[in-house]
Amino acid sequence: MKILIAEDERVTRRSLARRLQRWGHSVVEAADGAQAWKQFQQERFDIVLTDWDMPEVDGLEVIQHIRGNASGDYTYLIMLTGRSEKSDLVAGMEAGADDFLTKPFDANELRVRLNAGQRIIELERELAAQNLSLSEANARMKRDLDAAAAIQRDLLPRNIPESTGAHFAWHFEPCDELGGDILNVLPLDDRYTAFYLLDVSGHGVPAALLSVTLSRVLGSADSAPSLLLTSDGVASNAVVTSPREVARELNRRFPMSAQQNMYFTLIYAVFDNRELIMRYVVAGHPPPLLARDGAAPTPLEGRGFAIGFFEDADFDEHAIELQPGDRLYFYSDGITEARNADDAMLETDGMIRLIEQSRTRPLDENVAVCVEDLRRWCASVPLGDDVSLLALEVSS
Amino acid sequence: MTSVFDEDALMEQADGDIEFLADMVTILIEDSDPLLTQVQDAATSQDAAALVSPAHTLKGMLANFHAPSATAAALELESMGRKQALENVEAACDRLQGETRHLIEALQAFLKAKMT
Repeated sequence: MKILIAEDERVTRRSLARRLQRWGHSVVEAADGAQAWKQFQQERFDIVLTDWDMPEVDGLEVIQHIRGNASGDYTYLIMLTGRSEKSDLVAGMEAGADDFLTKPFDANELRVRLNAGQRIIELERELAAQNLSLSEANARMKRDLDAAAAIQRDLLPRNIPESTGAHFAWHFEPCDELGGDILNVLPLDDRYTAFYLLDVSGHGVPAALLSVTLSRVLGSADSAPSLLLTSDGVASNAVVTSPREVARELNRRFPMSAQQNMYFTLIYAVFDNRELIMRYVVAGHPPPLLARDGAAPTPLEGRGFAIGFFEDADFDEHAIELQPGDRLYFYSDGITEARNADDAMLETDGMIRLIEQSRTRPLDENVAVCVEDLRRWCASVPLGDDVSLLALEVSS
Repeated sequence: MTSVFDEDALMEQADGDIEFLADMVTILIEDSDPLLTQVQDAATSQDAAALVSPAHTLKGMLANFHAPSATAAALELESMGRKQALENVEAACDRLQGETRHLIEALQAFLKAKMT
């Protein structure tokens, strides 16, 4: 090992150095603390043996300097101390010394303490190597997660044309890097627009992978979603698939037994901008809220099993006639099950209150303020689930 | 063990190397002299603070030679300095100088005997 001795008293220093050299160690001697610190900055040492009482820079300062210089490999620090200096010893150990050696040193004691130091150094270096490896793995995973999160964000609504007959606003906030929620708005043709919000059980990567898969299955604004439109046998004529059939098809394709026991809740709707009718299906998801004529939002009817629970499950399809100015709110249970500092859940009533507080504002602001108010309500309690909110306002 | 130092312990510490021991004695002679002067100056001027450091260094140096009386004399002076109790400092100073001189003489005689 490479050992630095900091000792202003020559007899002790030379005796130590000679003994260590005889044991095969490489030794550098420093006649005081300042010289020791200078030497330490120039080259790496496995072990530093330092006296306490030295002129100008004492042993305590040497220890503090070395421990303050945390970069590089671990250095094992041994204090040299007289038998009457126990209080110095405590201060030195608190400053970062690993061990102490009483002067005049005993050769056997010196040897076992160096052996102990060598074991610690090896363990520290092994630990440092493992930490480095973990940091690299962590950074790699973080990069991957960030990339995956960007992909997931790309699946959110974009380029929604005015021709849908409604204005849409939304908020999507995973509680981890990736979310199990996903939502989208998909104009099917110039008359029908499909929109949905789904929530895969659990969080993190497995839930996110399924939510991304589902988003791809349900299609994007740029690609013809085969599940949502079915051919009537004539190539140019596509028929809008009913929400009930969409839910049934998803249930067939994604049984929880084939998805590592993951299932998902869904609210899926198709808006007809000519008749102002919305047909929708609710599968284990909170029903939508309808706000009309300045009245408080009220939950619409709708209930059913989550998708994937039962192989032959069927789903009720509902239809509601809308009016210009009506607002509809689809949301995930990450909102209604959010908790505040009193461990109280927001519940649906709380969600309605949040919406009401900014109801008179434009839809985009209504959604944004709603989420801000939710955070304020939760105060210091972090959101424990993904928060998704999709709202629409029927155009006049 | 002689009355001045523990021969066996010293030889063990030097790993039986007489030449190395001779080097250490040379260092003792060279380095103890100015330290003893500092101790004497501090004692004469009744400067407790100035007494501590040279007495402490001498204590560590003398302990290497397994010389209990000389080491104890240095420790006594260091303690006087730390406690600022200098009533008997002159006598303690004389004691340290005498013990150090005896130690050096004994070490030189020991080396001479071993080398011949």
